[in-house]
Amino acid sequence: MKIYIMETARILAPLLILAFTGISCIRRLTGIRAVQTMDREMRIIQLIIKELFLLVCFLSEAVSYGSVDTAVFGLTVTALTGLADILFTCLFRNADQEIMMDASMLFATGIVILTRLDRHHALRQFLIAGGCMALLSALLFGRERIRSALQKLSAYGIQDYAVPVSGILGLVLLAMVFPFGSEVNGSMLGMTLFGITLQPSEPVKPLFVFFLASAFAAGGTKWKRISLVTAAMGYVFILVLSRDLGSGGIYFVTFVLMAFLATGRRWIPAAGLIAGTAAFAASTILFSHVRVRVQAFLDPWSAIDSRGYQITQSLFAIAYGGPFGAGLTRGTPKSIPFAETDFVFSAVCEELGIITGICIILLCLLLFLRIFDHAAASRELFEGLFLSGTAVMFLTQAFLTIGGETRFIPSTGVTLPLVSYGGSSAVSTLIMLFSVQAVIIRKRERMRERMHAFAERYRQETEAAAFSWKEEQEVPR
Amino acid sequence: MNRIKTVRVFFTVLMLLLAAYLVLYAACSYRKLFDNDYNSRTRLLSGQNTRGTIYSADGYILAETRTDAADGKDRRVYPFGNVFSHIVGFSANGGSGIEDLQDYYLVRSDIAVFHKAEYEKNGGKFPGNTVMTTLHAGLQCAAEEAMRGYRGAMIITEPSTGRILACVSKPDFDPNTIARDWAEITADSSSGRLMNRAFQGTYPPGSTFKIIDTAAFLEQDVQAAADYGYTCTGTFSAGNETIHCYGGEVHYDLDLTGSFVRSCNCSFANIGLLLDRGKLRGLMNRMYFDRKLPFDMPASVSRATPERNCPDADMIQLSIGQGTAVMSPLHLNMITAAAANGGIMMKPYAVDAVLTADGDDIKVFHPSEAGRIFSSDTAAALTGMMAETVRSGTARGLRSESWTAAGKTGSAEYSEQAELSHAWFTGFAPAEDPQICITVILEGAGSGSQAAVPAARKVLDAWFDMQ
Repeated sequence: MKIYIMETARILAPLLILAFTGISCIRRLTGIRAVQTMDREMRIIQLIIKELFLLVCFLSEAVSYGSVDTAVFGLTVTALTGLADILFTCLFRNADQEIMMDASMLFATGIVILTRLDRHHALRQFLIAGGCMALLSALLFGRERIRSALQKLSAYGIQDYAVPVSGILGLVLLAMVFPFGSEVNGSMLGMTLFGITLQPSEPVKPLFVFFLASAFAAGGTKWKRISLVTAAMGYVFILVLSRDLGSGGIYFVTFVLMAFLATGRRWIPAAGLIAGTAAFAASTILFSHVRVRVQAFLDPWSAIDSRGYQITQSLFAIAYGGPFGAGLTRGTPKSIPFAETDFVFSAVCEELGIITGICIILLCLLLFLRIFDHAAASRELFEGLFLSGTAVMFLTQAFLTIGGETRFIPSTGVTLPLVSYGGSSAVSTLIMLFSVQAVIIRKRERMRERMHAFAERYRQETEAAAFSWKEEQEVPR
Repeated sequence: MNRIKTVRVFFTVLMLLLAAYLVLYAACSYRKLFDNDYNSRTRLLSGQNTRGTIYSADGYILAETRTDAADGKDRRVYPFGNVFSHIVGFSANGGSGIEDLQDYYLVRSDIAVFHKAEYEKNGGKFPGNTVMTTLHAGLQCAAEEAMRGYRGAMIITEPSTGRILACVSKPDFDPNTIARDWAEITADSSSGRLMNRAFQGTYPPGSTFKIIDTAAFLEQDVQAAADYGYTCTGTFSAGNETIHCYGGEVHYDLDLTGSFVRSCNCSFANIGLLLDRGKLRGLMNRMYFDRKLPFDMPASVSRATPERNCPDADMIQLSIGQGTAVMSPLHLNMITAAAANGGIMMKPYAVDAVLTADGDDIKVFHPSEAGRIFSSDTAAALTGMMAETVRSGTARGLRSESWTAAGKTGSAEYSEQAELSHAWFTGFAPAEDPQICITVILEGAGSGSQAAVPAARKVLDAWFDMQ
């Protein structure tokens, strides 16, 4: 009996996520202005597919472990995520449901594989993400009040201080890693404050994007621009110094692309590419930590039991599953070092298959493109920059982690947002997604208001015209 | 807006490239990655499945896993003991032979799901996939018996397909006790018991190299070959090298066939100097000298190709298969089989098919050509000379009432003392319609005619008795 369930689940799970991704792709390819009626049907189908996916995966895990706890946990997670999705759709009608759906699917995959790797971590991740979502939803729900509060504050001219304050705040938070931080796998990523472990590079991400967006939108003098570049480089420099080169790279790329999008000057990405390559080359020479990673990328096989161990174990796992995967609990993903964090994509490929891996890549891309579409359609510079900056930051991270795990590029020690285990990462990704939704909601509400105002004026004018026509009619007697 | 589009396109292309790379890499490398020693997933599968059975082409079990009734542990059993020790190999301690080559399939169980469910219900492990080899148990036993008491190798293949029918390497071992004997076997570094000498041994070819000389001469100038005449005086010199015919013989007047049949060193040294070096290099390259053989099990590379400007002294050493030239028995067998196969060399292979434990095909291997190494006319001429070698030449010991063989002997000197030589024989039978091609080398056994030919005789007798 068990084998029937496991074999069916093994084939079904990748097919479900493939169907989900397929629908998202179709929606994208038929244009941004998708037919409204079909849109709702497609979303409902996607929700059902996602719920089925969760059920199938948790069922196979529970059956394999013979554990009632897992079954209960799985059912609870399935029910709650479904409820959360429906609630979100109902509460925030003007939010972008596609973004919510795709992000939700990524998160679902994450929970499924984390449950398989370590149930306690899965529970912790779910609670943190759930709690954070609840809090952010509450904030989003009360956006009117927050907006009016902010407007009152802007009377004091606080907007002028937004740029320097956010910039300096971010730098300070990142720098806190030096006195308080602890070394993990060669980089000083995290610190423990008041018993909570967090990675400052994570929550500072939305702050960084906000800082850059407001700085570019504010425009300004040559001095302001120089100090902007210096501050941004300061961020990257601190990260490089703390040997978190992956995050340094992400911040750097985000800065370069935001500058390019803000100004449209072609030389910016070119200069960024040259500077980045030079910096990478320099760091390879200067830092043994980086050199080891580059050597492991170029030839992991000759040092397979030392510096090449991580990447070769990752490659073994990825190649083992085949298109459909070995099936949840049927592989040995725990043989990959850091399978829950830096190498979660390999664990997913091993047990859920290459098909699922491709779907994750596509979902990340679709999420990026969707946010970017909204950025393209923005009228305000700050809005557009904030949205595109968030999108770029997200996809760069996804690319670095997946590329590193598959030996497409050297591994950089960053995690896959929403999928990997990590409280700070989940929180910061949710903050970024919710702020994106906030911007989109505001944009759509403003558009609706404008349309209403326009419709109202039109109605009044036609009524007035009709009225005057009536009057004229009555005159000839 | 152009910049938006640029960024969009950039990231889309990047991610799609990543996806394409992922698929291609996994598809190309999954076997190689699975076989890597640092990949622990073989152990995982061994916990789920019992290792599959290996069969000979004539239906005998060569290797199987039996579960001990007492303690429930699995034991790998080789019913033929040491007879197939190198070619079938063993699975412990890294593995060797076919056990290693098809490890990927042997540890997996690809029977249907509903069948697996039955095994699951009974609490047992799933049966691993079956490997059907090309090996012929009856022939292998005859070969092993013929090789007893010697060191060396014997390899027998089917010339029209490349299937390996038998492969023996001596000294050998008993794979049933390999784990227990491991320390002892590996400590003795001089004997090389674990090495499959048929594939990995490299020996000077001696007079068997005259097959290549003859092929080169025929390919270069058929008319000159037909008109060839030489008067052997027992010695030949070039540069500062002097060679003699074997055993101090003097052969007087010979044509090409006579030179081949009597294995006259002086005549062939002469032919060696007549050969166009460039064309010889081309021929040897086609024959897979100095490059990896088209064979998927570990095999050595034969080294013999002369430099374009190599001195005459070196050339005459090469033409009698001495000097620095070395070959593996497998390689010589491939070339001989090509002569039997009209000039087309086939890729050797040891596995016919991989099946599920229920008998369904998973993968079937077919004969494939390695390339045409010489023309069919050359092949016919060579066959004729080799048949004559058996009829009246150095391989007279193979004359039989019921079958006709063809071949070439060799006595390859390998030390300063002229007394010590390896005994070679390479040939095929029946001469007019070749079914099997046999190559044997007996280390230090002396002359090919006196030592290698009788060993081949025993095996060919056994083979034709079985038909």
